Amino acid sequence: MRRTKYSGFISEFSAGAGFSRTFLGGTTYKVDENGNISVIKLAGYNYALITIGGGFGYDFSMKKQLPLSAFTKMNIITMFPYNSTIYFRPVLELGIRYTPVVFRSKSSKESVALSKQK
Amino acid sequence: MKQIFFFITLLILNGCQKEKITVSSNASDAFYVDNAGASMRVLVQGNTASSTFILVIHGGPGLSSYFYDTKYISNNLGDKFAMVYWDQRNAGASQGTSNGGELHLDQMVEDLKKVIEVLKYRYGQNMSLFLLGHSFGSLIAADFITTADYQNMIKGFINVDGSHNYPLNDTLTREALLKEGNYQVSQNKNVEKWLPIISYCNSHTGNFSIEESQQLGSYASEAENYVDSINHINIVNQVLKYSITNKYPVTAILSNLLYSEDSNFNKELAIKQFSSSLNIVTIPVLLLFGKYDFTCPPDLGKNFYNHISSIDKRFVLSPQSGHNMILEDKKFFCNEVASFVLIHR
Repeated sequence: MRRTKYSGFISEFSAGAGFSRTFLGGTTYKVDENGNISVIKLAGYNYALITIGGGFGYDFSMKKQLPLSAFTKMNIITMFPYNSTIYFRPVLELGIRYTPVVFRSKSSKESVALSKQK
Repeated sequence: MKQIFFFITLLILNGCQKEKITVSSNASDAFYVDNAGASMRVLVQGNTASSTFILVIHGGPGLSSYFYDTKYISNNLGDKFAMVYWDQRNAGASQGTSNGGELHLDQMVEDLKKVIEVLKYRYGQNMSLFLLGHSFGSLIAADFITTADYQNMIKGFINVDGSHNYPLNDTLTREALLKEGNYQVSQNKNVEKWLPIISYCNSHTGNFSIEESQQLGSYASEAENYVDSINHINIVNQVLKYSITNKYPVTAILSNLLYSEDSNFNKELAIKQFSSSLNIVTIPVLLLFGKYDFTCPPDLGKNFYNHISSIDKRFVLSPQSGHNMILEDKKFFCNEVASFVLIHR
């Protein structure tokens, strides 16, 4: 969910659910009861994943004819069951977003209208 | 096009897990050992060409071997031997899903056995292998060397500030806190800090519950701050110093630590002791303890020393360290370990 005010200020919140497949960063060995050793191909784990994030930024196209916006966003990615608990990873995004004109004109108008309604 | 994309993806993924076995004076190989629902990370650093390996069994439960991989150890032990850093199940960078039911001491001993088997498979069956247990890691090692003929898989054991008997550990922690606390008070040093510790020890005299055991452990860590003779190291700064360069999986370490601290595993550990079975141990043993270690007091090391049947055994006290001798008296630690390994490899 992203809102752009007439002043160009952007606020954003996102949440999502998904699936994560990890791949271990090295050869993974399995030893059987007789001491025989084999290599597990593409070793890793499947986890359920939930991510939430929020951020803010500035849309330069609102005041100037620049199809760019700058933003920062903090996301928390959680994966479970990870060793019988929850694994979390904070991710900080800092970026510049380019919006092609064909998409910008419509979305900007909607955002401005929304902003005026408030 | 789709097939090409799939093929390239497979190649990349296989590339990440390509078997890398380095025999040199400056190796750095990471691999995993999969057992009973856990994939445990093992990092081999240093002189693998020496064919002499020191396998570090970290403390905790739930800490990580990452904390033991310091520049000083690399330069003073890793130059002569290969250092092996094993992250136990539910610890450090080890992965798994719903595997909490497998978190118990006997399983960890079997994990350790398999890690050793894989090490020998990779670097040669004739290697000289030593176990180095710190704190809780020595409990795993004590269980290992008293199980069947497992001690024959290694050349020797180095017990650093380790515990092999949790009930005795609590008793000795209380005694050590009382002894040092009363001395410090008599010297008029940190009196207001020591008095609550002394008071707690005087009102809790034995047959400790889990809560009492944890409180004694908490006081044992705290008390080290009130002893001037310890060469104090700021552990937080130490972690920050290496977290970037050694690529610590910080949040994974934290998640695993919180889970392990709160799990039923600690109830199992509270009654574990190996003093009565240590008499079957005949391999060379080096015991290194900090004079001011209240968490695993030196008398615990003496109990270990007195119960083993090894002819070749040595107990040494560091005069300037508490529970973290590896950092607080690193020169003493590396010198003692190197001398012991060079003699017995």
